[in-house]
Amino acid sequence: MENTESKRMLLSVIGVALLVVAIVGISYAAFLFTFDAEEEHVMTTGTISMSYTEGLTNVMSITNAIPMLDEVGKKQKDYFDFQISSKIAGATEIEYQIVARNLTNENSIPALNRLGEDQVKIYLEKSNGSQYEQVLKPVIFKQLETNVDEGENSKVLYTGKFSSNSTEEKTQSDQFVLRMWLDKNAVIDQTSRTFKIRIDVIAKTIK
Amino acid sequence: MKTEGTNEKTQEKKYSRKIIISLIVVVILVFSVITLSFTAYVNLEKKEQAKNEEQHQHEQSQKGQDNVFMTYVEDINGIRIENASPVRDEVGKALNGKGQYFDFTVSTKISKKTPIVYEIAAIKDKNSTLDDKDVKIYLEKQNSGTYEQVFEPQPFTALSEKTQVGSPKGAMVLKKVKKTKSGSDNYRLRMWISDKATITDVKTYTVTVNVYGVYGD
Amino acid sequence: MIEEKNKNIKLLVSLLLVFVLIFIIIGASYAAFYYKKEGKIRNVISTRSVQCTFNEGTPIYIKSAFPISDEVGKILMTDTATGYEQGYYDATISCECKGSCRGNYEIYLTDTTNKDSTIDKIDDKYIKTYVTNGNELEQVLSPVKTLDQLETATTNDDKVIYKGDFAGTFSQKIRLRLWIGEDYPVGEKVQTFKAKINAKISE
Repeated sequence: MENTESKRMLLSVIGVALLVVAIVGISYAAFLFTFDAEEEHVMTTGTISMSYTEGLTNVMSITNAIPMLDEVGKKQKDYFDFQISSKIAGATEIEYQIVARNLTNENSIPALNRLGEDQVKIYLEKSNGSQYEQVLKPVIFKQLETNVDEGENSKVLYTGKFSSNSTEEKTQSDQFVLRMWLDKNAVIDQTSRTFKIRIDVIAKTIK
Repeated sequence: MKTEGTNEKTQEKKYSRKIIISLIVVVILVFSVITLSFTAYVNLEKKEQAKNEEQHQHEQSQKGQDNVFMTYVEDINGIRIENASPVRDEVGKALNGKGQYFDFTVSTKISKKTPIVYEIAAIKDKNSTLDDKDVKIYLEKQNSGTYEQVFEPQPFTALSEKTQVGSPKGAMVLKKVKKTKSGSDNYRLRMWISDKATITDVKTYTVTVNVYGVYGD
Repeated sequence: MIEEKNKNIKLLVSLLLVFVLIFIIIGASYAAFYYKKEGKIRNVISTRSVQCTFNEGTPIYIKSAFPISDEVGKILMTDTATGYEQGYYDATISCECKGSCRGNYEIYLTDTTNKDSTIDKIDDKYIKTYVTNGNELEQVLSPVKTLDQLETATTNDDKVIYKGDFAGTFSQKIRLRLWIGEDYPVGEKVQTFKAKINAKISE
């Protein structure tokens, strides 16, 4: 037992001695320079967010709706108001898109109770500071432009811009109101039908 | 009377002849002694050229000949360090790789009970571009199988004048030895760049080792 | 009688002289022993000088990065309208050799983000890197790669931005650009990435 321990000790000592010699041998002949930087490179992401009245969600749906004229739909009291904000800095201009994703074809809504994209109209208004102005005229959901990068189920409602000339970080916001109704030409029956969408905001890549 | 005179003259002639012969014999004797001394002085050893390397020659001592009192044999390989960097003395003293040290042997044959004194002298090549202060010289002597330090690593220190033993002015005496018994002394020389040196260019330092010997008191 | 005496004196003197001569010679023979042997082996030590430097320019600083395409990322400069305040970083690695020197160098990126555990770090797969030689034509040294696609450095876990070999005096400039890839999901949370660029030159 002691013998083995002594042998181990001896081997360790020899090992260290060899290592020392090896290091001595290397340091005598070879050079090594290491440079440790003082300055740090920093990348911080900008943000984009959607906010709305507490308690609500960004999912909108219509169920058992009655077809209505655009003039009526545009004024209905049932709407979704939300805010798009972005924290940006530097000489920046960023684009964002408000997209609507059709959730109607989820399993939670039986096929029989689903409304088609060609039966629903969408309408979007944006605040100019004092009042709301139309930015998306009433249009059939199916006819909306698709954001190809996001997938077929991403319909573009609006493309906006935030720009900054300040080196300081600032948060900028746009206010919106979204309305949705059953198109006047939609054919209805006794069956209860639903159309459901989710509103998202995406930052558009600068290309 | 006349015969006596002639006899005396003949005897004188004979006598003179004897003296001359004696003197000639003495001269021959003297000449022989001088020749023997001269042989000891020259003490040339047979040289053999190393086959592939021009820088050094391998010398064989003429052992067994009565007229050989000293030999100095150099190892075939000397110090050859390229791209040297400054190192601490602890590192320099431990250099054991190929071309990192130089071994040589000084042998003496003491006869007539007269001791021999020899000096090992380092000769610096005049084309050396490194400062003396930037190079450390270090000598070891073998004693019972292990090499022991002869002096602490130090820079080349030149003699201000030739020594009695024969080391020339400008050389550095590495060791002076008085031998009272015949034997061989094995030495190991090392050189390295001092850790205090600042090297900013390609520089060289070349040293050869000579040995000088005389009879001692 | 006188002649005999003279002869004897002469003989004595001669013998005396001989003895003296012998003694002188013997004495001289002792003094005549002189050994000198010049070494033939040249013991040579030669030096070299290697001075290496790593000069850095302004570090990359992007205050609010949004995703950009590779085409835009590859030409990032300073004061760009895309928010990449200091879109590129220049550095020069060099060695001046007097005598022989050959070896290799590595310029690598050390992630320092997690030094501060409160920071939400950008995932490596969204950070794009691109290296050119920074001259007018911007010759590509390393094509567009995400951070997780970069090679790991030899002596640590850092990422190699660029590496090379050298033999003798050399100088190599690199220009590094970093940006957020197109697929990054911009959200509500601010995410950060911090790094230092270090270098190693060895024989």
